[in-house]
Amino acid sequence: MRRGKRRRLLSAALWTVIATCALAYATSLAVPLWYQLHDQKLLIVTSGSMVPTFDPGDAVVTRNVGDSYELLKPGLMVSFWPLGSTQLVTHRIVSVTNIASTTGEVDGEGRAIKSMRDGKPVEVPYIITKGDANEENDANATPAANVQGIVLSVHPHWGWVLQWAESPAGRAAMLVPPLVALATLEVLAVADGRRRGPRPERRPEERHIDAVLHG
Amino acid sequence: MMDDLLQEMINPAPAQHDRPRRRRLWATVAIVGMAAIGVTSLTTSALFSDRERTGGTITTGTLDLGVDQSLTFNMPVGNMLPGARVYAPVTITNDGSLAFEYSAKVTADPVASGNPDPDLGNGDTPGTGDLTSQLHLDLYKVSSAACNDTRVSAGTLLGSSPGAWGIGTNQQLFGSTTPGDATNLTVSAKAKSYLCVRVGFSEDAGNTFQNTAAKITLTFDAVQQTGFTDGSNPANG
Repeated sequence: MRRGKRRRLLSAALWTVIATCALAYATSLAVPLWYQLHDQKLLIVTSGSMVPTFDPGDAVVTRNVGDSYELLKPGLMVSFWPLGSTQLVTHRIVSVTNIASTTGEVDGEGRAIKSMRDGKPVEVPYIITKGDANEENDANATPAANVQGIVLSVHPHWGWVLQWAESPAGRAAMLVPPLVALATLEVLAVADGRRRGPRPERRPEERHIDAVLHG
Repeated sequence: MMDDLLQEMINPAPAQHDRPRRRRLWATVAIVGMAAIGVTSLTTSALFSDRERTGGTITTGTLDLGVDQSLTFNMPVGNMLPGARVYAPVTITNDGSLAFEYSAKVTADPVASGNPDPDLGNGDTPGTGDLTSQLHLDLYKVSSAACNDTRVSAGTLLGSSPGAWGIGTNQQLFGSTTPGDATNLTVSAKAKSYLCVRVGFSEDAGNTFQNTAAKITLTFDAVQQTGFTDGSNPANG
């Protein structure tokens, strides 16, 4: 009788592990997906250039901008790819400006020649940005086309959690224990079955009929 | 014995259909299924595609140094006398999208005096001296466009024409056209850099320099800053 009680407790504990881990894992999948379905993105903050607005390890939710450059206004925080970089940076817009394109050639005095179209210089929208924790503006201006999204909200500490959840170690920590627990339950069930003695064997005729029906 | 084994392989005993077992089976299927979803691009892109560039237009930066077209010296009343110093502001603007670093050099050329009726001691006959040999130029970095004696003393001396007196051709004042030169000055995109030029006229200049003129040309060379291509600029962090 005491053995049965212990077994039930063990079984409940194992099922708790299974449910908790599976739920945690499902959440780690669902949260980024939920934002993606709303045309938003979760970005993990990795540097301290926006302290105290947000810290490394926080996550920011950004809304995709696309071609709607008119949405970019001074004071907004945006995520963008700096010129020549593949790493996203999230900083605040200081100003929005048009910069004339240059042909890449120079005139007799060594001045850059502006690109012209229909007699007017070709101007491209750019943003000047700065990290809240930085003294100076970012050295290079960023083309508005390089803006990935506007920051909508900040979730403290989500970044570390999500990063861990997406890492192999995090996934293993959430997936291996429930699978081990399930295997343990299976082994226990088999052991119980053994202890109870062999199941009453069905008669050969029955098996034959099964075979015919399946076959 | 062998017959039993064969029979078991051909026609295995029906699986147990007890409820706990089915529950374990479904739990396993659910967890393995979620693990499979987790490794597909569907969810990894939700969180991680932001780490890489997908599609989008490629924009190259522009390097564009803007500078006042002419130096305007605040000339003392009655023209420049030996020992006098005159000042002229220069504003360097970064009109491009890339930060640049720049250097400066100076050239002085003697020109015919444009003064038709100089109120000077020797009448209107231009002197025979080469004024460029009696001039000295200092370039200062200041905090705003104003340029005078007090601003210069609060500013930073960037460089001077070599020697005590005399300005030649293409004499480097500071920096070089080598990217990364520590003496170069940097200007961020759309930012300005304020400079102040001071030109002194030798106290020992004689009468041969009366009613003479010189043209001073400052040349600023901008080069793109290095170390930005991989986003490793700490200021970007």
